Amino acid sequence: MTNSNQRVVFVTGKGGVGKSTVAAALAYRAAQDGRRVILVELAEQSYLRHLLNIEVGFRPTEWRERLHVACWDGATCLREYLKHYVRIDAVVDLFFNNMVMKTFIQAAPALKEISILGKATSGIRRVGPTFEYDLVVIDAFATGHFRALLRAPKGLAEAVQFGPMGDQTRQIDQLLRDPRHTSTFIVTLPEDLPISECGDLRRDLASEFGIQARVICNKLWDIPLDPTALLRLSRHLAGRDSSGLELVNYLDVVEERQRQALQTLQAIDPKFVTLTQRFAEVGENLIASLAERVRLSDLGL
Amino acid sequence: MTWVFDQHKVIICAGTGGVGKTTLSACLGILAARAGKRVLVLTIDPARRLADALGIDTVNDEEVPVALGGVSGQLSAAMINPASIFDRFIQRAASRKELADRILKNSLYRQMSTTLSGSQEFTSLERLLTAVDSGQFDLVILDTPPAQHAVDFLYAPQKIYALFQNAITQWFVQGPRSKGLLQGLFQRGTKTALAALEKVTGAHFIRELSDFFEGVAEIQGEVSGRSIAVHRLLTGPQTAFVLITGFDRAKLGATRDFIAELRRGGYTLDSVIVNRCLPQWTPNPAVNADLRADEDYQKLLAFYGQLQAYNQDRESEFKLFQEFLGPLTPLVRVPDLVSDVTGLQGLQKLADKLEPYVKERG
Repeated sequence: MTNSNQRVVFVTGKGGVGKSTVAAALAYRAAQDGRRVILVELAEQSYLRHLLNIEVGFRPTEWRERLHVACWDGATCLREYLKHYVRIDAVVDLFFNNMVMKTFIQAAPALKEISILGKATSGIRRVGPTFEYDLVVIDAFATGHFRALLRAPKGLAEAVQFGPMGDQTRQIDQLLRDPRHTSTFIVTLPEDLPISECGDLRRDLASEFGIQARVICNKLWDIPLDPTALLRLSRHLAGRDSSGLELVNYLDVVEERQRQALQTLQAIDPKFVTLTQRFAEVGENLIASLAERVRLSDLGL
Repeated sequence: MTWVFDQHKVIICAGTGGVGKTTLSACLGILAARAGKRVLVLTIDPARRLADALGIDTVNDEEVPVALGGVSGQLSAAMINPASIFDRFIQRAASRKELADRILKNSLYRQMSTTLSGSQEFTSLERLLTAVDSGQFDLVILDTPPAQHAVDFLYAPQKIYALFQNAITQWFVQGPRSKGLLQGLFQRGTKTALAALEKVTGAHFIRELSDFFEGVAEIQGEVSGRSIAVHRLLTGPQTAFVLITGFDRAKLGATRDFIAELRRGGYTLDSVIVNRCLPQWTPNPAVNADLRADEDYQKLLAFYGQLQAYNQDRESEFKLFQEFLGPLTPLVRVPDLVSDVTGLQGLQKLADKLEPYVKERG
């Protein structure tokens, strides 16, 4: 009963690493390669809206050919789900317009997380409204909240063993662990703190869920001068151009930091992929330029 | 020369992710200890290297003295562990041990205390309040939990408090009671809505829920008392926010929104630190002429050209930000301090570098 062709891709990472841009680039590339793709932001307010200059809401908006964008929040996912099953709009409206229920949905344990994952996997599970895409790219929460997102089905399945809630959450949990249907990417920068967070998350995903997440190192500076050249330049600049000397020293540290970062990443995920920092491009141009450099086959997609 | 810790007893370091908030919080702690303060830095989910540098245990959440050496004050650090703080809170709030046990054993509570959005913020503030109340510190610095929108920090606790509110708990505990026509209608609506929820989730889920709310109903009073105390602490004159942001359009924009919220809510904004500004180069014409034929120097010029283009957009956003902030709030621009933080020594070196920037406001 499952749609074996659909695949859900989660993109996570420490805040500020460029997660949304990388997720958009993966989606962009996949659509260029001929797949039907939806790029989904998990937020109450869309961030991509500012990046792409298009309206992004719960209903998919067409961004490019074969590529839709949507922004999901837990409450709206739950609403859609109830609407599909209860089938009486008046009851659903009653539910959502009720102050007590509104507060409850905001606060109830794991309900929003389950609703989001339920919708993300609804195409594969063939439940709920039609969801016909080859690839569902989810610009997911940052690392801490992402752990909570993935843990929600397992936790709820343990808490609620009987009834539809228990069955569905077990199904969702299974799919999240199934590499044929789900891939997870952790975006990092070539810097200490994001990398250590990335390593911790990758280890946890492996031990808790058996998920082998792939690492994408974003914003690697392509500095055209090696340490020897920088050292030589610093001798020319010393005593004559202090701000230039500062720049050269800075680049030297960045290079060294990157070198160490790549070494650490090699140990975390030997198959990690890098994306070079694009200085001149912003917004949609940046996404297109990153997409050009991404090979989905390298990422197992 | 005055700095934030001379005027306040609580500093809340807030900001978007990826701007070095935790690291800068620790550095502020070091600077305050050098200024003779007994200071505690509370941090949630620190990267392992930073935790190692401070000597704090990521499992245990006790206050640990940090051996700075040669400072007149004392720096302590503690990790915020949401699950254990929540448990302790319930144990304290519940009047009877059976009641505490019942809540602690509820499977939904176990889920909620760690995974619910807003629970990190709630426990951070609970921990902050406990530290302030202990009277052991001249200054407590709270490194706020990472959130997509920094503004969430101000509102997330309300979501948790709302969970403990009268309306929901009454409803689960006692069921609809008709009081007047309007309320009767409202409660019938709730009943229908509950039936709809039960249809898709199953009776088991609803049973767990009502069990949870029954337990929670009994500690309501304590929760609202703490909620008022937290709000009083955050808006009081002894508390100041230091916003830490990065040098890019989206982050500066988000920080602007946060400041607007702080102003609306009557919170005290002490200062804004813009971290990780890129180096600026004004080439020396004489050197330029000398190195005209130097291939590497030309490469450096070309690369800096790229960097500058990248910076231009940010600089214009920074100017707007400066105007928005106005002249009264210090705006501290910290260059990308590239030395990686390794060990306590690394952290202290970073604090050395930070010192002139945070003091220039004097």
